[in-house]
Amino acid sequence: MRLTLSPTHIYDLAGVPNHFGLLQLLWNGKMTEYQKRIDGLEINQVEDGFMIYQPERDRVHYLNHTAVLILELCNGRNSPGEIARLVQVAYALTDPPQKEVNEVLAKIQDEGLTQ
Amino acid sequence: MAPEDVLSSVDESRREFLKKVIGGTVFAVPLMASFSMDGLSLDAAEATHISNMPGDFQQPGAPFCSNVSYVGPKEFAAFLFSDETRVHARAKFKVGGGRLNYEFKLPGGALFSSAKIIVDLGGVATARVFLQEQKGHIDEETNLGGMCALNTLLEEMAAGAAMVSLMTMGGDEIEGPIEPVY
Repeated sequence: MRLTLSPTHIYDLAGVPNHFGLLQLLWNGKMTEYQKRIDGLEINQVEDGFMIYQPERDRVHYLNHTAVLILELCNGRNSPGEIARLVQVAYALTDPPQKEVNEVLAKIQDEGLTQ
Repeated sequence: MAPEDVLSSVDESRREFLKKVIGGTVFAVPLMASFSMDGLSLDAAEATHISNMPGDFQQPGAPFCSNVSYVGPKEFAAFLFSDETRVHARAKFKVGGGRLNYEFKLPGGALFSSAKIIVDLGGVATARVFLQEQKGHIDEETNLGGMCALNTLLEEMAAGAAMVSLMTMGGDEIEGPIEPVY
């Protein structure tokens, strides 16, 4: 038996998945478009993903490999659209996973892993 | 655009790490779970926790942890079996004295090496509690694998969201779901 992981989603007030989450977050000023990974993050590989410890916040973050790739692509020059396209290329996807990328971008910025 | 372009899109100092991240993997829906180390409480700002317990549902945004003491089954068991090697074992868990006592019973000839309890934390992450002894206990001092408290472990076990994996000295890994004993 293998336990499966599922993503968090952005929902609007009616509880309906919000596929325009990025626009909404940008519009609300909650998300920076060109995010940059903060310096000095210590990323440790664990059995099925990566752990990041933020000593200044005393917080630990677990990310799977796709989320870490998104974090690494946050260099201050890649837009969310470019990041989604790069993820598409990295994993040979037919379409850029824009919605999933937007959700992670919002989360990592909220957690202070990017600025 | 080729995969090399992905590497060239990041700073040179990060390319080796990125190769490691991408190498040998396929796309998985990106996941992130964040924990506060302060009191080992799990911040569930964006996590959804749903258990199988009737009436036990936490809305997104509600914390996993609470100061409410665990209320539920006090005994659990797991039957562990390997299809490949036909090795089987039994794990017993019993709440008592503010801790969770456990014992693994292995068939004749098999020797215990280590074990871990794997918990699905509401579908957003997994946590592992590593056990190095065949018989012992889990308490708040135990490394609870990113879970906030023993309460959480017990709640997830009661909800049928935990499994145990046992490694024998012979290298056999056998596993099975943990079920409450009523």
